[in-house]
Amino acid sequence: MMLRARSSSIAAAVLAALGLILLIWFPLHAQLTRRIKTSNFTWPEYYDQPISATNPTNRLKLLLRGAQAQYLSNDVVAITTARLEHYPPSGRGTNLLALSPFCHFDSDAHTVTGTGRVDIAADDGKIAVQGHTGFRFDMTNYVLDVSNRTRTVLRRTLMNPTNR
Amino acid sequence: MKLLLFAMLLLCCATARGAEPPLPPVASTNSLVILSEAGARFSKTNAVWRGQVRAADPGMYIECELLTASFSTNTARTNVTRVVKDEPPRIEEADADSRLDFIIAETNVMIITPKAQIVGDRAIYNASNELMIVTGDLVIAVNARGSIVCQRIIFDPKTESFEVDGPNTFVPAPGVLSSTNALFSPRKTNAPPKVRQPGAVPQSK
Repeated sequence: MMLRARSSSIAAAVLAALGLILLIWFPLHAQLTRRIKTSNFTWPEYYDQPISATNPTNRLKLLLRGAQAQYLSNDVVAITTARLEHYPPSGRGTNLLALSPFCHFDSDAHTVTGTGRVDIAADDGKIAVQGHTGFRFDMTNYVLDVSNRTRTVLRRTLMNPTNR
Repeated sequence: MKLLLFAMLLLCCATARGAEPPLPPVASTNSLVILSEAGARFSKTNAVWRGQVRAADPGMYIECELLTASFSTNTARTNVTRVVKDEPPRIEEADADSRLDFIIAETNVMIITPKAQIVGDRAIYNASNELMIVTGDLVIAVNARGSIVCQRIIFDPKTESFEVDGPNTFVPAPGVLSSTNALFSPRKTNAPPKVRQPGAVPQSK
């Protein structure tokens, strides 16, 4: 009888200790991720399909790089000197290149946002966009919003493909 | 001595200037530059610019409040391959080749070309036939011959010629009044003009 009571009290103590550890660990974990700073930040994304039947490696789709990155939360990262590259399914070069001196990457919302300058070259340089006061890039649907003053240059070949 | 040094310095400067490569000629941009004040949105199929939009290319300048460009991508999705027997067929996507389909300019549209100027509410440029249709409650087109007021005008940017649909009013330019006056003068006939004789009774029909 005494033994059973003792074992149950031990189990309760272990459970309480585990609970306490978890209670302490979760805020601590959040605090730790908030302070993490990295250099040469890289966030690659890959296509679902492999390159070929013989090559099971998935082809690179997106590559977000930054000189320095700081985790503001578990999902949001502040990136300095960011460079976003998008690769077509064929894998021949980039078809979109975006540069920003500072931006936030939200891995949960899958967006890149910034309040400063952004320079974008797309479609082999046929489209060039400059934004000066903020942008938001939805990496899921490939929608770019550039706020306020923008400058866009569309090359003539885009309008008349026969004049190449 | 000082004079000699000064002369040598001048000579050095002159030779250095002479050695400079000539400045390259100003390259004529063969691109469409679009500026907007209230932002822009780009997606895979279209682009929208808002607020005091100004678009300029070597042959045309457009001002409006909202500019929409629609792109089409001819992504080749026909290369269906089946490498291994049990493997499902894979669709190989080729590189998407973007091309502009049409541009729509809305609200306070003003189009300026070297020889013409058009003001309207809405302009649609179709890349397939390279024609621009300008519509609005009051569309005004001006060129060297005069000005046309109408509600719908088809403008060919290549030839800078107009084609007017519907009721319109043409006001000839002062310099070309005599040449275009024939359009508004009564039809001429070979019969001599009827002169009413004094005292003659007008014939009743």
